[in-house]
Amino acid sequence: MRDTRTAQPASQHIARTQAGRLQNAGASTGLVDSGARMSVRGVSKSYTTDRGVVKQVLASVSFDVAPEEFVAIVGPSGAGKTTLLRALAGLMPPTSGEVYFDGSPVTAPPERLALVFQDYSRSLMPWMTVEKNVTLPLRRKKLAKEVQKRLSSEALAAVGLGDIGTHYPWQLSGGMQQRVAIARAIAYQPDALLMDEPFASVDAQTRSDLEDLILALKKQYRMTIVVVTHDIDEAVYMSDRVIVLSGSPTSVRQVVDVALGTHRDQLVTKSLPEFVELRNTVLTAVRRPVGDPTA
Amino acid sequence: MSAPAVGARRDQRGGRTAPLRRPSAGGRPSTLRRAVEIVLLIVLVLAAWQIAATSGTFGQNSWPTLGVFWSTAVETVPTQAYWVAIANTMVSWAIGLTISVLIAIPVGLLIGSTSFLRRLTTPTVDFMRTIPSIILVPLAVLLYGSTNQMKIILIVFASVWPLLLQAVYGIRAVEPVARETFSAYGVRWRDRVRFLYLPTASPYLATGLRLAAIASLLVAIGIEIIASAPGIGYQIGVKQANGLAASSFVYLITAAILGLIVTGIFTAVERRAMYWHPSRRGTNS
Ligand SMILES: Nc1ncnc2c1ncn2[C@@H]1O[C@H](COP(=O)(O)OP(=O)(O)O)[C@@H](O)[C@H]1O
Ligand SMILES: [Mg+2]
Repeated sequence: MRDTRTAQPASQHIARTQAGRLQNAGASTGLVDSGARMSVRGVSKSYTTDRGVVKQVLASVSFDVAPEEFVAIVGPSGAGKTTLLRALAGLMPPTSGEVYFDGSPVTAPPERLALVFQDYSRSLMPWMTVEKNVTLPLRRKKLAKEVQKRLSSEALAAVGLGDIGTHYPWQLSGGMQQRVAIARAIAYQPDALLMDEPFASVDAQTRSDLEDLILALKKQYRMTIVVVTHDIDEAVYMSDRVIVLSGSPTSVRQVVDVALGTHRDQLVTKSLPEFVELRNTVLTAVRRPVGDPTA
Repeated sequence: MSAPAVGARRDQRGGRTAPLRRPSAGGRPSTLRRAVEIVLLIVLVLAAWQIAATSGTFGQNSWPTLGVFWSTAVETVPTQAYWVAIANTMVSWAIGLTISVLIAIPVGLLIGSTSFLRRLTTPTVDFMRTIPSIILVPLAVLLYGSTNQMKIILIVFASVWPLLLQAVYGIRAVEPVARETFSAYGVRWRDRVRFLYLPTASPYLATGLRLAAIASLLVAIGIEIIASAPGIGYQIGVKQANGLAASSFVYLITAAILGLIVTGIFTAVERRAMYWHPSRRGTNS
């Protein structure tokens, strides 16, 4: 694993200088430079349905994500969490408001950002082997074949999958497929990782394994992580901060700091009184009827 | 870059014997049973043939007995005329099909990926594909005479529509999540075509190709009969008209065998194109 990381500072440096240049170029137009890895500023999004009906999903959502921070976004189904993540990832321009990545406005998917979708079976290509799937994002980096192969097998090892590069995704279980999707993100060596309900379609045991896997990988690769989930326990267990979305249209209802330290354990952490309290705080915020100002 | 793709497919076949995938049991009895069924069918057809020929239901001399047919076949097959007829049919078939592929696949992929173009062209395509090629024979003969060129134009007209439609469906089948995955990781345009659009569309294109290949052959032979253009169809028509029933039958059976070969080849191509598809996984050999 060390080999990959020795190459990392150089490429990171290049990315930083590029970002810096963009930042300076845009300084006159009033860009954000708060030191945040990602900034969401007054983001609203309306969809126009096929019948021409305009539906507002997000209303002026704002928050920052610090470098190496783990942020969980919770909210009820249909609240617009995926919509928000797509705006963060540069996959969809917001109707109004801005998104920044390392200080520069996001107009296309940022190069230092990786994404893990909920729907792993569709996000992995069934006609490509596991290795081809993992190395797909590396093609733009124009790395030598052997380097790509090495990054792929290292990433697969990091997510606890052995020598399965020659298999096809559909020969694997759901949990293994999601691990492949995570390995693909890791091999890409991103500064930040966005995950949209990554564990919603796997069984409970696999789910807590994957939660711990992500926490370990975050430590190992020092990534900034934003995860969308509707599981409140998961949000509190994994994150440094929980952002609660609610309302229609959706906005940030409450931000809960999770001061549970850097070491988390499924049994120990989840039975801490602080954990239970944080969990109840988040649950109350999620459940509170819209418009009720009592905190 | 087609070599790695072939290699990958080999790996996958190797993977079938790996513990993750159990080889299908009981393939042998069903193969044997199928062979028996086929032999039975052939015997039945030959018996029916002989009865039809000897009973005189179809008039004197219009249906040769098996014996007459066989001796005529032995006489005809070594002649140059026989092979020239096959070549005439198959060359125009191949050229027509190739032209259709070259037109339909890029145009279909383009139409399929643009909702505006799709809305604009769907009614036209639906209308055009219901026009049988045969109707256009008089017009084509008037313009080009009974030539291979005329034949090829009509073959293209018959085979371009199924391919075009399948290409449109194929590109429509691209999953939004897959598309977003490619965008999120900044995969370049050429790699998107190669690793997303073409693979998603390939089972559809292979089905279109099979339909187009069969339609092309039918149209080629049909036009040869109607418009007296050189080829197997012409031989069928001309021998029949001259009372050479057995000779006509030799060409008729030749056409049927060519049809079987074409269907077999393109069914196999289709199966290979779908090796990853949920409906095929582990069923192709
Ligand atoms: N492409 C789209 N076109 C129209 N409406 C959409 C689209 N995507 C999402 N929506 C609507 O926006 C709302 C929020 O969707 P989404 O962001 O997927 O919510 P969540 O991920 O929180 O469940 C839903 O009501 C959904 O129907
Ligand atoms: Mg969602």
